[in-house]
Amino acid sequence: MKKYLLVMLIFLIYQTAASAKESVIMSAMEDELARSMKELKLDDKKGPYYISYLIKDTYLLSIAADSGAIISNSENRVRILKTDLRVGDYTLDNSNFLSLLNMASMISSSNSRLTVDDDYDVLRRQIWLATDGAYKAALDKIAKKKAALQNTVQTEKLPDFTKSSATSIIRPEASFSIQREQWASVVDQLSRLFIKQQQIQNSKVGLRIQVINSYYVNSEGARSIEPAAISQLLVTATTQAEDGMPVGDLLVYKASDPGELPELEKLKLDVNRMINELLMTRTAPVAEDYNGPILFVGQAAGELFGQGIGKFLLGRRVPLADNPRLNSMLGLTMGNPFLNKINKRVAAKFLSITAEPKLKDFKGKSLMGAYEIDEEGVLSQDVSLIENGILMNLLTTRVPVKGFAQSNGHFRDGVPTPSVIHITSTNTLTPEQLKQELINVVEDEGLPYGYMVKGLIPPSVEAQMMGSDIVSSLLVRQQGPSEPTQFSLTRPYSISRVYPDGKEEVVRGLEFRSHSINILKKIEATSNNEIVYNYPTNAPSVSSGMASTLLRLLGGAGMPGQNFSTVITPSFLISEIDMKKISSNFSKPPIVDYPMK
Amino acid sequence: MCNKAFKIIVSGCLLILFGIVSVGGAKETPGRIEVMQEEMTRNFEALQKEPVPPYYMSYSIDDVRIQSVTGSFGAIMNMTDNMVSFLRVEVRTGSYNLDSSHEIRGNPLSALQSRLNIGVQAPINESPDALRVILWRETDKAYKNAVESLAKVKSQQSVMVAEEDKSDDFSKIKPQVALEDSAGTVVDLDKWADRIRTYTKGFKKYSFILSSMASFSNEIRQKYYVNTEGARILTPAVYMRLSITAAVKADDGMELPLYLSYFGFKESDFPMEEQIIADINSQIETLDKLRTAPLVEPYTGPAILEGKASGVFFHEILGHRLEGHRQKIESEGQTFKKSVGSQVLPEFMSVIFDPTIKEFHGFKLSGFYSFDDEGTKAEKVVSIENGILKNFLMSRSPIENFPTSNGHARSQPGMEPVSRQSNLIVESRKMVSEEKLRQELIEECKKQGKDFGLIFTEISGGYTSTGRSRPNAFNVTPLVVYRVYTDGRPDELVRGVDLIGTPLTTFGKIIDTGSKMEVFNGMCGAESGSVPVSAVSPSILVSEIEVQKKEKSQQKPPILPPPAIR
Repeated sequence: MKKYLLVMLIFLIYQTAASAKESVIMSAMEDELARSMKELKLDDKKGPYYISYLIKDTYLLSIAADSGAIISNSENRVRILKTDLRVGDYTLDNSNFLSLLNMASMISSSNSRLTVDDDYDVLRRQIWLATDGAYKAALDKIAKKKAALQNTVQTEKLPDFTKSSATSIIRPEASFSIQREQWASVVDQLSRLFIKQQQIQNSKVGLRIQVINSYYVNSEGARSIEPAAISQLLVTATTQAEDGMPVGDLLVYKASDPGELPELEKLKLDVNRMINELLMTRTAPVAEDYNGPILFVGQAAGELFGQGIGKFLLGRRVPLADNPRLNSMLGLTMGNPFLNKINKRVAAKFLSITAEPKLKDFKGKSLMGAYEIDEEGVLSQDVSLIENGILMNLLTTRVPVKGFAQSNGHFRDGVPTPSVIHITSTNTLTPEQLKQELINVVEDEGLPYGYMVKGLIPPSVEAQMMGSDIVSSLLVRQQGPSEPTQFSLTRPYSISRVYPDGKEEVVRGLEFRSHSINILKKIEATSNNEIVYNYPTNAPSVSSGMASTLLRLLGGAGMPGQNFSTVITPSFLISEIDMKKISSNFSKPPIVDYPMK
Repeated sequence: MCNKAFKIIVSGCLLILFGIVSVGGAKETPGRIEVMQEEMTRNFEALQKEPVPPYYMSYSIDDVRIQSVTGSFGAIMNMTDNMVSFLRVEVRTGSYNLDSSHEIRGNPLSALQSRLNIGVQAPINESPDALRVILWRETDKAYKNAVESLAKVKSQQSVMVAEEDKSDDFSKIKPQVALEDSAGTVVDLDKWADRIRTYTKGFKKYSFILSSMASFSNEIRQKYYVNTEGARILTPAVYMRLSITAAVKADDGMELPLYLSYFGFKESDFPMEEQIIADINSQIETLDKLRTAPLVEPYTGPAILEGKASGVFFHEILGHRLEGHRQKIESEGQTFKKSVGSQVLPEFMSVIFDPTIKEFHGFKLSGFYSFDDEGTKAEKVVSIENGILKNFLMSRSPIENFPTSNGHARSQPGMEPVSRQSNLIVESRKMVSEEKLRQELIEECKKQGKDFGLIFTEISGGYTSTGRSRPNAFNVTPLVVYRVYTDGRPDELVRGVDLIGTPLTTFGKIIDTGSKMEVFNGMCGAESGSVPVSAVSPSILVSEIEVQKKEKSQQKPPILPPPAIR
């Protein structure tokens, strides 16, 4: 059945004949790169010492439904060119620098839209103009950077960029022919399940299927073509309890090939189950502030990594800025305290974390964070990050950070980004034993109950779940973590009390306080089963605060062709976490009766 | 008293409602407009039991299908064919005299908030059940906002000084019932993609052309509108546009673009392909000349604005200041508020806004509509008659001495309408031939002791600020400007011209008008979003105009020559 669906819904035809030589895109990039390296030079200034081009050719199908009907159904194809052009040398160049005056031009100069025709002349022409703009912007930036450096005391001197060897990976390009109408019918049918639900105010079903071919060349001789596909189906529903408190639930399916998404009948069952769960949550008791053990199960464990733990494993350079306030803001949002923790214990002794970027499949589940070559032309490498609780390494790029001179191939979306992360443990319990362990801790602490979290709202849908667009949500909620060691988590959409007798009770109205990464040491035990959790990289989110969201948007987050990361994780029991009751200025429930009987 | 009025309105609604149901009785499912009407009535009646009931509600839905294709140098950049439906739910609490829409003074965020409020998407297909749910949900939101706003308005009334303009917040109009057929046709987009390739391929041969872009779009709209006063309107709109732009860069870095634009309601309204290609070739020729044309020096003196340029000039300087709501909002400059009945233009000139016509002097006009976005029938408005200011462009928000709407409430689909322009027509009783006008320009120059005058032939859109916090000035961007010498030297193309000045002074200086009318069709952006407008005008001769040097890009032209064509 699965095979049948695959054939029916998508044809990912792999063209075996497409050698790089024949790719018009590759030759346009290579020819203009060669010419620019040789001839591009302004008056007395030096020419570029390094150029790379990344073209993402993205096909996007996007279908959305609201309350029982399709509200949009669009197909689009875009080709975006990202140019990285550097002047100066590896030690000091125009990168790792932010100028308040240049914020706007930074976005416009690094991304440009290309023709979707395979027209060599026009592609080259567009690459030529993009390169010219990037070169002038680089000259301007290095001048500003040198000026800013004169006023700054640098505690550590790191080169701006490291050399890399010429790599070449050419995979067959993916082409696409997706059955738009059939997918529209799936979205429509799922959305219709909500029509008779008088107690549910908002429901949305969204499907996004992307087929992305990435083309890359750089002046050190790297060249690659790598295809990828991303399919995502999201169902969200929100409503209010009698007391006005907003409650919501969601279902999210992600896979590479849309054929791997569940069949319609299974989806319908899941949606109906979700509706029932939401109705239960709606009338569930309101929780109180809590401090004690919490069990993160399944999706919640995946989000705990994606929103929290993951960002401490990145060797991210804090750029220099020409403004003291911007500098301190950057330090806060981008500084990583783990840079000083190498060879020190950062997690429970039984916990190990590795990156396995080349792993494409895990027990039949597609790992969307997998890739062979990163967006700086470096082959992706396996990395042991934490071994038995000791921090061993970080995910690095060609931008060196203190103690990490070399890239291990984790540059994507402009920054170090998790690939496929595998969390393993030597202290594993069956799910039942793990629940019992939670009860044991609860009893030790003399608490009446503990909590089990099954679902955290993904940052990418947080604004939608909060019933507004991201811009106005940001205007309302600006706070983010206040210390580099802290992180914040989105609200749980599925959380239950676990009583000493084993009884589970769904509650509503809790959110997390900011947490320190020290919680890694407070992991008591993990489950012996693992889930595969794929999540979009760098999704702009409300809870991470205005500043870091703006930075992510600057980095091109949310654009077509966005990347994914994957975490393979067990469930976690953490001995102590703080949660608080959400503030209670709720709007009244709807006044007029629901229109459908 | 008030309640009685409600009942009459409500029962009126019900009558109409029953009428539709019986008409549509043959259908199994009610159409979109019937669903809107039913749900509106149901919500309106139920909300009457609330302590602060609504006195007025309206629903509007715009189904918008846009087919578009964009290309550059013979290759396609983007091609889409999408359908979106925008819903706007309006709920007013209070009364016609003072209601929840009343301006809340001193709130700097209010403008931003209204801009962020770009409506809600409604189903794109017939889905009556889902539509009901969405209407119900959005009505609840809009009602709660209205209750909150009215409380704020009332508290401001008691603590702040009285406003200058004590007009009502909302005027009554005769409810309109009209069901017009859809007017648009779907085009073969692949065929247009080929045309776009053909049009833009021509630019490839010229290495001095830095960028070129052509885009075609076919926008088919269907508007559904109901309100609790009994209006029930189904009205279509079609906009077919082709625009071709290309730009060169002078050696000093100045970017010089030119635009060609064509507008119509159907494909046959467009010129023949040969004509378009001829237009492109002449565009290329002008661009080549512009690149090396001398820079203009700051100048004050006589000038001719040809029809298109003059149209933009009138739209920016005059049109925006005739929009009624700007005479009311406390933060606005209210340039013309006290000028009603006075001379604002030479006595031989009149300015008319006429949304009811599709065509004028053979030009297709994009500011055409039969009903505005508040359900008011579009009306021809003579704003300035024989130089005397007579009337403003009115929405249902009355201003002092102008209590009723004249069908100029407009918005981008989904946004909140305010008074906006439609088809602006400049009329003159003193038209002379173009040659004569040119001769008059030379004579005026001699009189003023100037060596040359200016002729503006092409102009791109500009902007104007009408607020109080910034200088009340305008700025339009001339693209093609010639110097006309008094000593008989040939005309000389110049570049880098910015037309500046303060509005009121410019109007008194129109000496004469030419006989050749031209049209400018464009999109006009303001607080209620982007709306299609047009401006038709003859050439005008102005005794004094002020120009300054255009701010130019500091970017040098590309360092390397364009790659050789393979």
